[in-house]
Amino acid sequence: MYARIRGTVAAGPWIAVTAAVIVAVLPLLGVGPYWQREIMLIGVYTLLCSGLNLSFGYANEMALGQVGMFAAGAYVTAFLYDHGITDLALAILASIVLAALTGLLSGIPGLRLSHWSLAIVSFFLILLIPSITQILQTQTGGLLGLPGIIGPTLFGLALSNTGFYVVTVIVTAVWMLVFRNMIVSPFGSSLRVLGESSTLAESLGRSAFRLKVSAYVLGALPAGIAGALFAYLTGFVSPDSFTVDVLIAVLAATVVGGADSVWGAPLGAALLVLGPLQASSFQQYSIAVYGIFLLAVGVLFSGGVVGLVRVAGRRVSSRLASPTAGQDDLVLSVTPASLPIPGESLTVSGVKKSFAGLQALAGVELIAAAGQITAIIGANGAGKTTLLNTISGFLQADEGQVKLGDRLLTGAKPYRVARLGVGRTFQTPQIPKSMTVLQIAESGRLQKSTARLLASILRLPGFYRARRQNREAALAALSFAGLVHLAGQDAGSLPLGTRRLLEVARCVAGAPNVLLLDEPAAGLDGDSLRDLGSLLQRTREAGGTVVIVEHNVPFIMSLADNVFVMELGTVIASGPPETVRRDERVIDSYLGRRHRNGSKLMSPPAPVQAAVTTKYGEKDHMR
Amino acid sequence: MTILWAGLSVGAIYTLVALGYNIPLAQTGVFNFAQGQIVVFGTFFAWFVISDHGWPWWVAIIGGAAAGGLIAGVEELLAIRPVVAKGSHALLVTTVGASVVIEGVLLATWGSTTRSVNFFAGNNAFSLLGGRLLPVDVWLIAAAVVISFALHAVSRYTLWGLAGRAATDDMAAAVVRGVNVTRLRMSAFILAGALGGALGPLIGPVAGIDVSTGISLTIYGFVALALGGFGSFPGCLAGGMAIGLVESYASRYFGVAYPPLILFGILILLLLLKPAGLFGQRGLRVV
Repeated sequence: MYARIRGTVAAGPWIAVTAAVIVAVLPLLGVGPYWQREIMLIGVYTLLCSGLNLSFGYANEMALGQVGMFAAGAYVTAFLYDHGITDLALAILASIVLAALTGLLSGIPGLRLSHWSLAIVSFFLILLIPSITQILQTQTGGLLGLPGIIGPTLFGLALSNTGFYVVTVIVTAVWMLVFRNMIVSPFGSSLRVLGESSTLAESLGRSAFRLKVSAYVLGALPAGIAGALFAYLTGFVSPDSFTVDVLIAVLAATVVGGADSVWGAPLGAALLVLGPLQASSFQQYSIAVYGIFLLAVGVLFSGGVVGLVRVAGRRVSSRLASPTAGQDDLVLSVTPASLPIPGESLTVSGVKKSFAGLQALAGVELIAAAGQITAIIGANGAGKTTLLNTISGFLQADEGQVKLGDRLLTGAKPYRVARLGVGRTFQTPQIPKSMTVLQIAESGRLQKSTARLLASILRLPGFYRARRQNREAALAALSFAGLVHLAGQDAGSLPLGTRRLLEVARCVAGAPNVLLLDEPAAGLDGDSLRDLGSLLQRTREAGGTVVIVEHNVPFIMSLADNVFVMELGTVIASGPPETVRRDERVIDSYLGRRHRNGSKLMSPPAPVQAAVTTKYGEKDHMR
Repeated sequence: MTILWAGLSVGAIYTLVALGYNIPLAQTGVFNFAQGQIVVFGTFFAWFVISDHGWPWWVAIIGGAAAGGLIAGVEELLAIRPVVAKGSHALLVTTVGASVVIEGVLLATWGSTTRSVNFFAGNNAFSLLGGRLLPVDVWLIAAAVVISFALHAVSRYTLWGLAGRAATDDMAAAVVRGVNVTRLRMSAFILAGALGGALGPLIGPVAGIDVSTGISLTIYGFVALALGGFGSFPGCLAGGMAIGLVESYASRYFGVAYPPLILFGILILLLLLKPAGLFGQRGLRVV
């Protein structure tokens, strides 16, 4: 099944290239000026929609500045034309630059905002267009606009109408390929991760803010190109072409096509120009129709048309293919190399952290040795998760320092800490629903992804090398966790236990110098608990340093090399499990009396034993 | 002084839009993008009742309140309830959709030509504290002040307001304590819709009756809300009046092209430096 899906994905661009070539030669087949114009409009809207896909669809940001960038592109083209520069390539280049600048200027403050503030700022940007054109009256023609932008040239040659048509089709197709390569790359994965949660993106070594800005600015580029093409297509630029209605239409086309898909953009654009979203045929009602489409898509099928096709395709292929056949292909196609994990020792010294008078960490001292499993146990509220958050940079320590090997982690931002070699999991698993199990495991390597965005777009050898390395590491981590058979499955359908395991596997795939695991065994049953145990053991064998916060005492005591017990923000005992288990203070504070009276928990418990939490122990004691 | 009165009058309109945003926001944490468009519906309804049919002004107010409440209630049912669990990204699409549907239906029924309605309490300008103003200005300013403080009192001193504050503070805890969040949201939407629909006879004569005013009301209402602080009703008044004054003075001294740019700058600076606004609740920063 996976191979089939991969086959379709790989075929996507060739189908698109063929389609673009066919569309480009349509004039030879007698397609006249009217249809040429309609197709060029589809191209312009495709560019606009794909820009919106990047920031709104993939990164899940409510950044809708496309119309502003579109206007910037159109106006700079008209301005150049009025100054005697009619070269289309130059106009497109200038449009891209100005649109990117518009994106940067509005995005850097705008993207620090969240949700609605950002959406309103994007709408506000459109209201500024008439004002700016009025203030720059002499350059922009004010509210009347700039007419007569006719007859582009390309590299010194005059372009006929048909020539302009061909150029428009080619430019659109080239952008779509660039866009597709951007999405099917580590950059695309990090956008999806960001769309799920910015905390997760940071913990995987990507600065959430920088990702948001790059998605927004990259989304500005096609809008700028669209502006340049639009100026020559209509021959006239005025504020009336860049209204909120245009944004609404493009938004409707984007969500109808499928906001988080590559090929949803041309589909939505075609629907906008030709289909049920058609603006011209029933002018009076068109606005209401856009609204109904937005409502219907938002409520009923948030994946848009492409989402529907995807779901249908999956049903068909799962019915046709035997459940295991394709997956074997996948495992065979890349032999999981053994995954060395370069563990280093983690030193926490004198770390203090308080929240408004409550001292959560009161001078924690802790050393996790390289190549060992170090457990942190303690009652709820002892400060265990606070400690993990402080180590990984989500909280800043008031005092003290954290070192990994000889590198200081204190004071670094979460994504920096991740790049310095800290991998972590969360109490509530953070698993993006729209990705497959394999893609999620691969996303564990985002922080060390060496392939640059440009290498991904151009599909340079470095991209393929990095992809192979990432896939091997991801498969190795999945096989450690016994999850390889699920590699092609959508993560959204996984049960909680598997998601937890997958999260640990994602962390392992990144081969970090230290792994911080926050209650990975919570809610796991017998089999998954055994899988988790063997995953942790194999991680240790591969050299990894594992720091694990856990409440399942029997499970963790059987695995850990070293145990730290926390109470009220300090470490009250540490040492090998047997020593800690006999410690008076630990028994009083956490384990409970029953452990001392020779209950069955005294004997070294097997990891498969059902989770017996200490709370029950305490209750028994009180009874 | 005339500029001051004009600013306060326009500011009162932004205040009234912001109050309509703030009711569902303060009660259930949902932002209703369509509120500005409901206000535009109110102005069209006032024209329809008073100018077109010659009925008395109070019919426009009562009927507008009923129709506005109905529109918002239907919106809650169709556009909010099915997607509220999916988060603000889905709500953006559906509430923008609802706003566009209202706009489209207005365009289709009452057309795109600008309408006008005479103010019911006369159009004789008079002088007050050295500035000229119209009766409608006084009414608008008074309505903004009275409604702001009335809503503040409702939010502070009624069980309904308390339930709302509980729901926005911690939705799960409120549900456990027996707050019916769905009913709370529906009632907040209906109240906000009724407020937006009722004010046509006051807003129409000043803002003009035209579908294209919808987007400006939507955005400037939001700026008023952001400036005053998400969740605070007196904040809406302060924010609305402040931007009304900025708009009025900036058009007078720089020219009509400048107020949007200046307000945009204010909005960006404010959201970056003081995201909770002047009187806002920190908890509602999710907006």
